Amino acid sequence: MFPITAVIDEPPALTIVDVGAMDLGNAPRWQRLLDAGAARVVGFEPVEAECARLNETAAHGHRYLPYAIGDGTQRTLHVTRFPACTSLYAPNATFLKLFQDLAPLFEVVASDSVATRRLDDIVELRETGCDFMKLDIQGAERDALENATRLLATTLVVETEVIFTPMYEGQPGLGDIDRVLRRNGFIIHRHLGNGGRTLKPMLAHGGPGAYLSQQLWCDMVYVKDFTRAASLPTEGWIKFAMLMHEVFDAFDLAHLALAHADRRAGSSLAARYSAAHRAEWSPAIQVKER
Amino acid sequence: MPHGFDLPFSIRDAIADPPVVAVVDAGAIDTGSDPVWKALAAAGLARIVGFEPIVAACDKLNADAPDGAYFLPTALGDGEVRTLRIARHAPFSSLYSVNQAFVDLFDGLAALMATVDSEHVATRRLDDVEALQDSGCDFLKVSVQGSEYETLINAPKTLEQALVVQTTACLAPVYVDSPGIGPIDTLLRAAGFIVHQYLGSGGRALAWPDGVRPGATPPLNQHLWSDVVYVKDFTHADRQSAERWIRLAVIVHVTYGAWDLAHLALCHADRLTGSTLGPRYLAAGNEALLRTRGQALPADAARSKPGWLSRLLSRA
Repeated sequence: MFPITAVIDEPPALTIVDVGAMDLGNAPRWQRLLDAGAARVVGFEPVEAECARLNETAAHGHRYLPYAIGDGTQRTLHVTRFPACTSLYAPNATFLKLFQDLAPLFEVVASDSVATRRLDDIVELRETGCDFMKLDIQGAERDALENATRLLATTLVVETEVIFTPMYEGQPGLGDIDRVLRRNGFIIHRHLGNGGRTLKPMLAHGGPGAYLSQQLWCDMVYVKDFTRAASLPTEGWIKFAMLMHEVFDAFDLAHLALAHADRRAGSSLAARYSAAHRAEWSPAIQVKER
Repeated sequence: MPHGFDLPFSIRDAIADPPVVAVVDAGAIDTGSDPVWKALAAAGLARIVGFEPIVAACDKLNADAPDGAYFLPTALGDGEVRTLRIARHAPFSSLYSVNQAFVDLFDGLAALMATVDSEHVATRRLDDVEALQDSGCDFLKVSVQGSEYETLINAPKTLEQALVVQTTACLAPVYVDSPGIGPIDTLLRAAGFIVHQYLGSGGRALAWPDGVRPGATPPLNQHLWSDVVYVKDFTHADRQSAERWIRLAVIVHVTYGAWDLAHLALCHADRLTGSTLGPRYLAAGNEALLRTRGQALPADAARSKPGWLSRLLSRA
């Protein structure tokens, strides 16, 4: 697929805020934007060793800060044997023990008292703002979002993990996260797949990481309501289109966002974008692919 | 279904005389896909009370109903008189008005959802329906085009009884002021449910006004609605009676192939009554696996080895 920057003369630079940035070995979903030099990342990772590792390998312009994002109060960070399960919420051992594989990963190996930071209070974000926010902080996503009203006002896309079963004690659920995001002008764009585990003693085909039927978490993508062109400035719609095209392959929504930008600025980006798609999917190419 | 229903493993292999479960189908119109209770009905394990406010659609459901099923031409809601908007594609008919500005953005959606007729209907609260006073509700399915939340919030008694709820939820503002997946989730969690499965999203591609779109098949990126299955929190055996755990096992085994959850529910029943349904279930699963492979059951059989199904499944 062609890069969307091919149809935008002076593409704006995007800021990605990565809340819970631990490197799990996968390329980030926004890799194409990084490769194109179109985005900088400000990330937060409270496990200090993991944060240091991120900074060591970070490309120029990206920055990771060792903050636990939350409501600004002093909280306990429950550090787990598998670092990616570390959370401001205590693992619900009774529930986790019912499943293959989970309890050892969530075993708490340290409990640290941490001063959490509100996203809206973080000085480093004052200058950069946020276009795309990703959250994966093991049940504390609602707390982070509740304390980011100012940042969310200009954020265009939020990708958040949603744990929809009681894996942590007292953790907010899908409904709580959804309420905060809708209040801030977002609607669901899409669901990005589920994780699950099999209840003991059974073991699904595919090993301990697979599941028969019981799902435990998912990722959800929210976007600013795109019904009306007037709801974002021209540059906002262009950034929106860049994110939809490069991160989510949502070409139809990228096209709509560019049409909104055109309506506001009198440009012809949507037509150029369509033409680029036509070139990509010309009959000659389709015949060759067959 | 993550693992497919490829194992000939009947609940009757494990429970000689499984209980018949009470199914309530709110929004039962034929949409072209199998009703959620089809497998339960085929196994003779369901009594079904359904609701479909479009009278012609309700009549058709009654004409085709399996034994033990009947349908009432009732619009479920808050008990007030409301406007039922009949859509060109009848399954889109709703108590809520279509969010036209939003729906117009999508390819072909507005035509399907266009209101072709409307009528005043006296809605009933699910908890007030006499037919449910006797039958009860073990398994509630709700698919009522935007009024799922309203149906559920007017059914606290039914939700207390229900063990499994499969509900449609709007993900995006397809209808004006209709509460979507968030409020539904909050309500069901407060009623003691947790998510079992997010069953996948439906929707339409956005329209490309100049008639161009990438590829032959329009991409489905903007999700509009999904079905989500909730079950009563299964962490603690003492939260339900043994009889109710067994009914939960029947529903999730037959409907979702959730053998692991069915087994846990039967083990909870065993803990409460001293029965041995859990081990019997596992043994029956093992036997089904062996039958599938054309193998003879070893002399010591699976009964003494509770982890056996797991090992066989992991090799399947």
